[in-house]
Amino acid sequence: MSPSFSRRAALAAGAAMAAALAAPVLAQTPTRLPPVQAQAAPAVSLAEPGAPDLTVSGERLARRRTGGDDAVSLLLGEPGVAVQAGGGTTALPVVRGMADDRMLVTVDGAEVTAFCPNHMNPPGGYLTAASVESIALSSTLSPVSAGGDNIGGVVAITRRAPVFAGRGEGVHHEGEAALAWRSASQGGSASVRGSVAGERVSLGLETSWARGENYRSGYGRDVRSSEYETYDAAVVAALRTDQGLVTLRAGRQFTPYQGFPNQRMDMTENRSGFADLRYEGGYAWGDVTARASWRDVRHEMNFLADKGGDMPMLTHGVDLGLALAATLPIGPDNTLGLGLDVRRTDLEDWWPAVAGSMMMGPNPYININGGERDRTAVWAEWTSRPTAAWTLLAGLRLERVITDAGDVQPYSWTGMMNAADAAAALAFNARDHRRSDDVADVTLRASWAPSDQASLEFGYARKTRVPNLYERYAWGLGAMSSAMTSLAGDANSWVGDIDLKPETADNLAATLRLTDGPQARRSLTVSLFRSAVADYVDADKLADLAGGFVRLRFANHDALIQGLEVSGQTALWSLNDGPSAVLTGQVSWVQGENRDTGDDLYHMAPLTSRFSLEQPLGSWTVIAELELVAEKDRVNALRHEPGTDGYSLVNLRAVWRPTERFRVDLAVENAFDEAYDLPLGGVSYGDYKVGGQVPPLLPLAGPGRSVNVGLNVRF
Amino acid sequence: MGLSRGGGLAGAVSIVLHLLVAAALVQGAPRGAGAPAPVEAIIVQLSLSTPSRPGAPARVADSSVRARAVVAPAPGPSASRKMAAAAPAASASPLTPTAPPAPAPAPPTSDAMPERPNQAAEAYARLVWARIAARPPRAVEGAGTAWVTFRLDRSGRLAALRLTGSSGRPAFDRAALATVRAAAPFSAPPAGLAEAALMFEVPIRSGGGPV
Repeated sequence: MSPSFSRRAALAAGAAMAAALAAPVLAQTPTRLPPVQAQAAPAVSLAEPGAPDLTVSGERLARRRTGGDDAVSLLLGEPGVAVQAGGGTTALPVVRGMADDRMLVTVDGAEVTAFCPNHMNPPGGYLTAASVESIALSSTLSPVSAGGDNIGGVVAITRRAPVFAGRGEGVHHEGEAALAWRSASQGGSASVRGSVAGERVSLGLETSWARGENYRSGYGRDVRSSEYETYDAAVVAALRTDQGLVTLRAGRQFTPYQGFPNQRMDMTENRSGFADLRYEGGYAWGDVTARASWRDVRHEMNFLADKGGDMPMLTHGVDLGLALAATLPIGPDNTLGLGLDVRRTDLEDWWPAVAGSMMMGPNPYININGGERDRTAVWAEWTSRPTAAWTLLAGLRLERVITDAGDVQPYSWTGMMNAADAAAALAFNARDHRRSDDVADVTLRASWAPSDQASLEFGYARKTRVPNLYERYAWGLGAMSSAMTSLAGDANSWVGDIDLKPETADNLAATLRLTDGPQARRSLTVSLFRSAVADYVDADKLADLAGGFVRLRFANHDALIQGLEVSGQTALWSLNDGPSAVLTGQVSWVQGENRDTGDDLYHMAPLTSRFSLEQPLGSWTVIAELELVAEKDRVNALRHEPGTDGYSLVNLRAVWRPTERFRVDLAVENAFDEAYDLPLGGVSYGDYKVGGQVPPLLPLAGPGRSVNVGLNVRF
Repeated sequence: MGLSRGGGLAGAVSIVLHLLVAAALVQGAPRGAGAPAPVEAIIVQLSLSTPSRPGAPARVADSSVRARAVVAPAPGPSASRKMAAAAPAASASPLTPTAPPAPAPAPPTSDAMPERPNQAAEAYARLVWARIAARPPRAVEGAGTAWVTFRLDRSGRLAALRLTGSSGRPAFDRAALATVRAAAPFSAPPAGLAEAALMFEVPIRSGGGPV
């Protein structure tokens, strides 16, 4: 991509904005047409290129909020979706075998960087489940308009949009309050939001609090370092004109502590402020969106009581983003989308000297000094409906990513205990750190829907992710310093590589959807996918360490991930002519291999199936769920990834909705108190440390039986 | 901005169907009248059927869109002429008349009553409405009615588009604007139509309540 290209795109976007402001005025009295009635959302969506593969909102989301406070985990239960365990509100998405930064997670369209060498503050960690209005997933064939810098797809989290008064309504006000409590963590959440609005102006406030103790596993033990507490609050102000909507959302997030049972460190504070200014306009010639976003993060790691000790690690990060996008219909059957994304990320990562420590002093250890990751992207996307049955999507995204970091220093240049770090710092500082990568992403999708009962969607996407700042610039080679960088809950020691190349995936996928019509009493969806990843950021071993750990360097390898997802539902009996009971089921299978070494890729979910039987009974709905997870015997040998046994969980739920404005959720999750380990939980480092660091290091255990109660009132 | 490649056939079929519908309406108007005397007010009630496949809304030419109108006389002469909005019924029938056609004696033929300019405007308004209603947006939870005002140029293209009343939910407001935009271009209006007859306001309802 040439700079002049991006300049031209900026000019084009600017011209579009200028044209918008000169829209013709409607002066006369219009002819009033009869109302047009919107259609209800179908029970099962057939393929619509450009739309997310799935969206969780409304009732389905409301039920999942009771189960936990983590926002990304609201996707759990969808085919192909797993999460990598983190803290109580900071799980990382794993979709079709692609984890963490391989998935782009946006909040209201804004991108957020995980400013932490352990990725303790990923984008989904800045809000709790209570603040989420909807969460949508576009997996390996995500359109380029949904975002770049990922190879696995996009998770788009949407907070509640501003509300307005309807015509003639006067002043509109609405609000919602929710409470949840869970026995396994002796914790819960509370949230309140409220809006006051006229027809043109809207003001809203939303705030939530969530807290949990160390959760109790199915083994009957507390899982050490799993406690957490977090707050977030935001104000939303919006102004509506005839042509568009200006929304300003600003807020604060504060996490006083969040334990990480699978990391050496814990989050001892995370403070963040953000502002998001957005304009969305609808014109005769098309739609336009302009967004500016800012987030400032101050993150602190140390040890909570379970792990003990003192080793402060501080991070300060700032994300600035600017995005322009226009959607232009070209005739009734073609649409052209154009966009420009500019993003600037700054990162400082340092570890203050610890008074009285021989090893941690006298200087602060500078891990990332003036880290920069700047991205500029232009994209174009064309969608077409050449015939009633076919829809096509083609997109191209060109992106330049520049990463850089300044010189670093160890705790001591001369101390014996810091000799390895001093040598590594000298070697690092002797090198040029700036890297510039020009990448091109392509998405080609077609869907064929010969009737309203079947669709076949298939496509290809080339997607690229440039390494993050830790993967390139974490430089410490000392026993302690290298153990501090670990993104994946394996408790190994990691070292960056300045020369690490972007990873590029060639994704193929096809999805067949069958339903018996819009009411979908029965439906079946089958997806096949295959991702061949060149320069997949995996690892090479530098050294075996005491306790069965290894020191690894981020390294490019070729990898292949493939899998299958099947899901379906069928209506069963109907009691007293009420809504039918519904049986749903799904199976997800994924497998990944490092083609250079033959090793299995890290954190590939074992074969998982879920079944649910739902029975509406008046104002009640009762649900029984069965989750079956196979033994995880394919593990990444290089990282000493622990295998996990197969298990089955039964969850029982009841929802009571006596009125539209009031709901109660009751659940017994893991009703039989099954003892099991999380296949993507990483290692149980908190328990290991409390137990005196005696091998073996076990996998992280899942929660035991939990009685959950949720209350929700709208007013 | 004409019909696109590939959409040409469907567009042509659409236009033919529109013309047929328009002809039926014009033919039907006098039949519904209880008396051959000119009526000053016309109440039109339309309701639409839900296209059969929400995931990929039917084209205008699809058989799932069947726009018919029953035109009944007002009780008395009135200076105003307007199309009164009526609540669409959620019945299986795509169109439900509120006032049944009067069991009148055999009506005069259409050529017995020359078409007035306003009849052309109303017929064109029906065409415009039917095209918008053929691809309705998806409902959004909590949304009410979005009011979209738009103006067409002499070739039937969208010249201006505005949201003149919010549904309360911006997501549905956007979808409502996109629905009108996606319906354009419309067929070209009849030549004699006044400028004012090319501006429309359409309420697009998410829920089932009154407008």
